[in-house]
Amino acid sequence: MNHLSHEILQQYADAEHPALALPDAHKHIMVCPQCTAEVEIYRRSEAILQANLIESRAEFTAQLMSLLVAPKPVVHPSRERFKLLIPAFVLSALMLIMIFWNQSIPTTAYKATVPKTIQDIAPSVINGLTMYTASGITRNIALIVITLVILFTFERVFLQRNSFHRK
Amino acid sequence: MGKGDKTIATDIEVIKRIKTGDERAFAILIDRYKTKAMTLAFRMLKNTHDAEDAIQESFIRAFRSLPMFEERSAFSTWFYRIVYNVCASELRKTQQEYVYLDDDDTGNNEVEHTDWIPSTLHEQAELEKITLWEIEKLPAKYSGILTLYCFEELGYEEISAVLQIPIGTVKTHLFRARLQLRNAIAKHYHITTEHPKGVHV
Repeated sequence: MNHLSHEILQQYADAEHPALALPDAHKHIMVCPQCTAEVEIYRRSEAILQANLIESRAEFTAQLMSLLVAPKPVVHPSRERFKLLIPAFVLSALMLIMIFWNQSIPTTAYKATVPKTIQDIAPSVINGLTMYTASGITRNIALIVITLVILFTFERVFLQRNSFHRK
Repeated sequence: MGKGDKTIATDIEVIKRIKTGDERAFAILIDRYKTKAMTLAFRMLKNTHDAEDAIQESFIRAFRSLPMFEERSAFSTWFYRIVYNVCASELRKTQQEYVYLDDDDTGNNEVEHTDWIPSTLHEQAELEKITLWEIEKLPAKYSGILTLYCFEELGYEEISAVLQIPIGTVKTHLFRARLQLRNAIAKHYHITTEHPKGVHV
């Protein structure tokens, strides 16, 4: 007895309505147990492949997502403090320059550098500055205190605001 | 976002969310495709560890290329192509047997019509064991195309897009792959044959 070719057998196995799609093959299969078995083996083996999918590890998605979408870096407070050191150093350097610059010019000359408008508006301030410049030590201490106050305020305001945002 | 959203949202909707900045939505696509990707990779690479590395690499590539995904094909087709290419490249790298399917590759087309009868196949559990054992032994080129064929959403056209070969070639290769699996199962049953070839009726 002749049998169906494997091309026909595969087409028959795939067909939704094999009797309609392949009527001649259907007639043969009805009377041929070997070809019926062949069709069955195609259908069943592929159903087995379809049903037996391979699972990845349960934590696969979470691990992959942690690689793909990195969390936003949390800046350690000490690093923020370190960041503030740069403006602090700059500020301090400017203060030191001012100190040495002021020391190098006489009081009267210093007074002359102040714009006239300010002299008019706040003569008492100018007088105060003139008084401080009279003593180098007093003036330096005053400038250091002012620098520390500025840095302290800067740190309080900015660090507290940043830590609030992190929360 | 709840679990319900995951089942409702189509791939295109999820991709739109990712493109508008919700990168975490990519987890939905991973959950949706990881099992089939793993199956394809495992059946090609024959090794769980390598398969997992391959699908991880594939998802990373897909995530990075998502802005370039133009929705001309389904995400699944596009993604399986990435998985298939990663696995093929891995096989080439490790110098394992991997020959791209071409028309000169005749495969084992010598077919023998068996004498087995339906009762031989009654033991479903045994057949399942044998089928899964045999698919692992098939060359990557056959197990890959056969696995894609078994994914419900992929027809000849989609497989053609995944493998980037013409539909006619897909049909030819699929025929050979199915035949190889069938022959392997037949050998396992130690079935002898008297009929050299099937004949068109």
